[in-house]
Amino acid sequence: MLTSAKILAAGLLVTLFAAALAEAQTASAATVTALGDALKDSDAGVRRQAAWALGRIQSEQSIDALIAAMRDSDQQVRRQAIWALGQIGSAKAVDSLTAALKDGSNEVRRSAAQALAHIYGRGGPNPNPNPNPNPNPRPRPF
Amino acid sequence: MTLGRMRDPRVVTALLPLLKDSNADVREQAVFALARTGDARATAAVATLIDDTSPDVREQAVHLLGQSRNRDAAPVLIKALKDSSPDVREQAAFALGQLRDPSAVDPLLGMLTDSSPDVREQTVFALGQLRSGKAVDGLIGALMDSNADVREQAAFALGQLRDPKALPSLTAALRDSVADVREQAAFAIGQISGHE
Repeated sequence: MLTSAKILAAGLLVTLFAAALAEAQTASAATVTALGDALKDSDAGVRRQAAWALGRIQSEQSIDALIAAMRDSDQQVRRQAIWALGQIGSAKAVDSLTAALKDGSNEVRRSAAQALAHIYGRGGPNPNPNPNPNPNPRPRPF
Repeated sequence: MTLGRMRDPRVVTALLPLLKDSNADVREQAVFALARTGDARATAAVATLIDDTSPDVREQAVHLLGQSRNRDAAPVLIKALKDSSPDVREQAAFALGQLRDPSAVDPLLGMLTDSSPDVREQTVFALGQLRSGKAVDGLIGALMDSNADVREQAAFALGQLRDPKALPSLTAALRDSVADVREQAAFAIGQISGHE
């Protein structure tokens, strides 16, 4: 009786530990949804950064929003969204990138080919176009 | 200025007595010139100027102590966080972030409610530089600061600390009224929860 209680407790601990590990690496569905909304932000810098974050999180849940962002008015957002789809690398992402190979824009076709080369090259280069912001207030000497 | 950039030890020897000059402008310029020499003797001498009557001299002194990268300067800089001049407090917060001395975390957390937004912004940046998990709750609070520059820095600092505890607050910050804050929040979320 005591033994099974101990086993139960140990099992619970392992479950909690695994959950904590998963939490450390994965954003919640709410966060992914909010980043998807941020892909429609009025500010291009926010949209670009949201696409970058989604490329890091690599959630299937964000694929439709990223496909839509391939049509963004801002070139950097478009490239960042294609990069993110390349990072996700799932079958659905491959379908969307394959469709983008027929896009009217040279730059979209080229970025899509690059992202697909990354997926099929098993971790080959998928150069991130995004220079991350780094605000650094620096009180200057006189 | 030109002399101050020279690494000739005689220049330092000649500049040191000027730290006791009767004129505040001379003392300030002497501190600035000494900062440029990078000479080890300058650090100890300059620490005495932390109580100077002129806020400009104190600010230069604090700047030099931060540049020295000498952790022995941390207690003096922590004291300068209580300076009556916001410019000196801001400079002290920045200097403590540069020194990366863990003893600065608690005193800096106390500065998150400073009356000057510039001081709060610099404090938040310094806490990010110190990479201490103890700062996470304070920085989450700073995401709600009335000043947008403070909120932007808080998001950036939380991205540096990489504690998933900040994710719900950063997700809420994606709806901040200021675009720069939203952008930093997205960046921080990617830093914390992403894969390379």
